[in-house]
Order: sequence, then C-alpha cells, then structure tokens
Amino acid sequence: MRFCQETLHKMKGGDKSWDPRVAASYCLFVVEVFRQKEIHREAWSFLCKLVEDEDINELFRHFTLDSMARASGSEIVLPREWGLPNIASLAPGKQGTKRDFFRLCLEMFFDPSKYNLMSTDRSSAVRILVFLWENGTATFRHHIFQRLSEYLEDGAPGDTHLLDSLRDLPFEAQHSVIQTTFVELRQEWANLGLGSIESDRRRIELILGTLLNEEDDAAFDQLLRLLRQQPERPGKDHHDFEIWMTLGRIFTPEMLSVIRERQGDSALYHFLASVLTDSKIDLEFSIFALMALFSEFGIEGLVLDDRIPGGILESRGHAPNKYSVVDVVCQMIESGRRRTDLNAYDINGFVSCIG
Amino acid sequence: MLTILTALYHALDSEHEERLKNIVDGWLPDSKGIIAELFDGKITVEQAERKLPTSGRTRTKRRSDPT
Repeated sequence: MRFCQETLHKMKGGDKSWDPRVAASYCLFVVEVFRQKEIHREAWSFLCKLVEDEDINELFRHFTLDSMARASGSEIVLPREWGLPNIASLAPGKQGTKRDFFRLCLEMFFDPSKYNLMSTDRSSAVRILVFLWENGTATFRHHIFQRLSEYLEDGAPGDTHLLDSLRDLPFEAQHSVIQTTFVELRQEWANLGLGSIESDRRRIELILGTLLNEEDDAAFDQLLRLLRQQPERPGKDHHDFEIWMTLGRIFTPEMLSVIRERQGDSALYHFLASVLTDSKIDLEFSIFALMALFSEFGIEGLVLDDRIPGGILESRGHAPNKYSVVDVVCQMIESGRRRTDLNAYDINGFVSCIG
Repeated sequence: MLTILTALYHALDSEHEERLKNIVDGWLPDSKGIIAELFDGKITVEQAERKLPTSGRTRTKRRSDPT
C-alpha cells in the first residue's frame, strides 16, 4: 500500500514528469501485484480513489479507468459490490477544460490527434466505455447514453450521417440508434489493426465479456473462428503467449460454470465438442476442451456428439509432426504424470514436447 | 488421463475402438496388457495406475511416427 500512497501523493502534487500513460502502466502493475497476492479489492479501491480524485490530471484519471477496465476484463467476474467510481466524479472537474470522462473518451476515439495520442489509445477510450456500460447501473448507462447522444448532436467527426438519422426521431428510437452506435464502436475497437495479435486480444476480451454477461448465440461462433485462426498467423510458428493464456482461461472450472449459467448447457456442450473435434484448432485447445467436456458433462458428454469419434482420432498438423487428440492423451499417460488436474502449462509442455 | 482415455474408449463404436487401441499400443507398448484389462473392465483406473511401470521407462514413439 505504501507504493500506492506514494503514487497518489505524486499525482496530487502535480508531478509533471509523470506521463499519464507511464503512470497508467504503473497502475496496471499494481493491479497485477495485488492479483498475485489475491487481494484484488485493495487494488480496486486504490484505483477508485485515483479516478474519483478531482485534483488529479484528467488524462491520468482516464488511463486509470483504462487500467480498471483491463483488470476487470482479465478477471473472471468482477464483484459488483466493489463499486464503480462515483458517477459525479466523472462529470466535469475543477481542473482543465471542463471535459468529463465520457466526452474525453469519445473525443479520444473519434479524434485522437487532438490529444496527440497514439492510434492505439482509441482502443483505451472504447474499452472504458464498454467497461462502464457493462458494469454500470441503469443510471450509469443512462448517463453514458445521454453523453453519447450530446456528443453526436454536437457533430462528432465522421458521424454526420448518424446525426441526421437521429433528428426527428422519438426518444425510444433515438435510444435504439445510440445503442447500435455503441455496438458499432465496440466492433470498431475490436477491428483496429484487424488480424494483429493486439486486435485478437481485444476481440477475445469482448467475446469473453459477452459470454459472461449476456446470452448470445453468435459469441461462441466468433470464439471458434478466433481459435481456428491462431495457428495461421503469418511469421509465427506458435500462438502468441498472452492470447494462448487468455483463451486457455476459458476452460477453467470457474469460467465454465459462469458461461454455462449464462449461455446454457447445450451451447456450452456444442462449443466444447467443436473445439475438441475441429481439425483447424490446435491440439492444446482440444485437450483443454476434452478435459472440460469430461468434467462438465461426464462420460455421456463423449457420446452425444457424432463428431467426437472421428475428431479425436484424426491427426492434425503437418508431417512429420502429425498427432491426434488420443496421441496426446497417450503421451501424457506415458510421461508418468498421473494428474487429472493438469494446468495450461502442463498441456502446452506436453504438446510442445511431442510436436 | 487414464480415466479420460477409458471414457473415450467406451464412447466409441467398434471400428473406432480398434483405431484407438492401435494408437494406445503404439504409445504404451509395455503397458498393453494393463490397458486391455482396464478397457475390459477387469481392473479399475486406480489399479491400472498402480500397475503401470513408473520408473526406468524411456519415452516411446508410435511405430508409425516417422520422427
């Protein structure tokens, strides 16, 4: 906590040597340290204090919110009772140009050059909006909606078509247009640098958020497409480690339990059977799926889908390193490790070893 | 993993069973008899685990594996 207090002190002291992005990276680091020690709540309240303190530079507060959004995305479920920053603190503050956070987010997205920001900072703006939208109360959402609406009415760059379509519409219809815009914003965020590792990470974050929070038939299909394209990344002979770990987290019991609750047994079963049997998906993920299928649905889970018999026996990869799911299972037994609670590192190790 | 392998075996029809057996025999030649007993239900997974050789084993390769 001493580090946190020192940071808070520096921020309040208006230390100009602290670039907001560097400071925000520091916040991410703090969150990570706290997470390692499993004291998330302390990290969270520290970040809340920073965001709510109107004496702190607004860009720094913005990037702190970004850190919170990132931390939230990497957790399984963020307990609601921890609370979001006070909505009043996100309104125009004492300092600067009287912008509020929502407007700042929107400006950063539509016009990043205004703040001399890198193009990647656009994703930060939308991540915050998505985070606040998905975790906020109805009042919070209403406020975001109003601010987005006002911003668009003021003439957001490149959105004159949207502005025109909003005029003369009744409130309910406007609301629908705004919501559609928000979905498009999310999509655009995910599409920034499409095909890159960074883009894939953003897509995974969005899909996981959807899977954990709302029923959505298309989310599993999107996830399957992402899983299929991982081995095809040009210039890479293996997954990006962070993507691999993020995707691997889906198969943990805690995550599966929440997904099952939100999406239903049938959708989860179909997804796991698809990952297990799809020849375009890497064996690591198929082994995860096999273990998840077995633990979630038992032996019956292995007989309910006609794709399973052929899928587990079909060899994948290129000669001379072609292996099937059963090959990997046998190798894991042969290696003498008789554990059934194998984690991601073990499986990656096994598959790398035989691959 | 033995539990999962056994479950897979029982989930397959006879044609696929044979293919799975061949793969298992390729990887675990010295444990062939034990695995067969396990698949036939003559011994439990726990018994099979105890019977499987645990030391001095070297890594085996499938005969069909060109590497």
